[in-house]
Parts: sequence; C-alpha cells; structure tokens
Amino acid sequence: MKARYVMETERGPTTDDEWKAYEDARIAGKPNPLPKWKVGDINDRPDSFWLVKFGVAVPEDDECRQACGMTEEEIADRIDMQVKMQKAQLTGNPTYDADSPEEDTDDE
Amino acid sequence: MARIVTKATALKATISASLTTITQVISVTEASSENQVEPTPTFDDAIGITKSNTGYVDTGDFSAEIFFDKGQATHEFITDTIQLGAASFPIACSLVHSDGTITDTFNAVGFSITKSFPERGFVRATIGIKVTGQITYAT
Repeated sequence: MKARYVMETERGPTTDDEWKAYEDARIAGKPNPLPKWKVGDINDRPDSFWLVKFGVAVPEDDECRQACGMTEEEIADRIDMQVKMQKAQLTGNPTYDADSPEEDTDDE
Repeated sequence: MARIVTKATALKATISASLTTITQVISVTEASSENQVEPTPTFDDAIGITKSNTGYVDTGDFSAEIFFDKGQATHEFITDTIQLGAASFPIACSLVHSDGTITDTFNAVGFSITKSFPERGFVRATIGIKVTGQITYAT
C-alpha cells in the first residue's frame, strides 16, 4: 500500500544496505546518513497506513485509505496535530507553547 | 556548566521506515549501559576478588512513562506490535535531547507495556524498549 508524505520525515533503515550505512555511521558517532523522506515522496510498504495515522502522510491508494480507516477530516486533524507537535505548540496557549520562529523578512 | 531541560525531549522509533516521535511521554529512563566484567579469582590470588573486562558492553532496556491514549497512533503501534508481532525487528530508535543537537541512538528488538489506572488522575503506561547492541551517545 502507498502513502504520500506531507512533511519532511527522518528515514529509518529497513534494507540490509540501509542498515549497514546507518550502523556504520551510528557507531562512528555520525548523524543518520539516510536521505530524509521529502514532501511528495511515496512510501510503498505493507505498514504505510501508520504514517497516515501519525499525521505525516496521506493515503495514496485505496488499500492505504482502507487500512488507516480515517475520514478526510480525521486525516487533516492528525496532520495539524503533527505540525503543532513538531513546533511544540500543541496547547494553543502561548503561555505554555513554544514561540513561533520569527519570520524572515528579507527586503533586499 | 550547562543544564539541559527535559521539556521537548523526543523519543523516536522507526515505523514504516520513518523515525516517529512517541507522543505524550512524561519521563524517560535511558537503558543502562556498562562495560561487562566477570569475576576472575584464582586460588593463588589475594583475597580481594579480581574482575576482568570481557570486552562487551551490557545494555539494559529503555523505559518511558506516558499518558496512555489508544487514539494516539504511536501508542496503538506499540500495543499492536506486542499483541500481533506487527513490527519487523530490529528497528532504529533515538532519544533527541531538547536542544536538538544531542541524539542518543539505539536499536530495539521488542516492546513491553504496563498500564496503570491510579485512584485519581489519568491512565498511564510504562513502556519498555528492549535494546540490542550498544547505545551510541552523541559526542
């Protein structure tokens, strides 16, 4: 089944080659060398529906749509929650939420 | 001397080839990691028991306390994995400190969960992450 990423997401190793590259870097104390999943990338795996449930992707085929069992509204809400969580702005209360990064106003 | 706040610490696990943050985490106890030693006394030694380093690193399990919510997909993933063996182990995991620059990484081969229903308050759970191999500490 297929899911399409709607936000950049760190990739975890799944193939033997990916594990080798990941472990070599990890043991050497280097960052994750695997390329990140980009917006628009397709994840084609039997468990891709989890990405929709997490709010980082939307279903790309009927199999994924059926497996996640969510309405369009629920998917949108989940994505919204994920965005807010990554910004540490889940409560909606500025007293508790992280500040929004200042917008870059480049007037050049 | 710097003190790193714990708010915004992120415990992540690879699910469907994507490192995903486990939600509603209250606290994390990182797995212990120690040089493995074995006693090596011999009959002709002094009375103090000698020990020798085996060359191995012995690693315990991660433990995290969460406010459990079946509606949270990461919590559902953990319970599904335990019940149905759904995940394909090992999976890569990481603990990202709040400053975002320090990440400890480890590989998991299983989960455990213990839910608790206190007299007053909210449903909690202690999740365990069973580690294989070494934890790599950010330098």
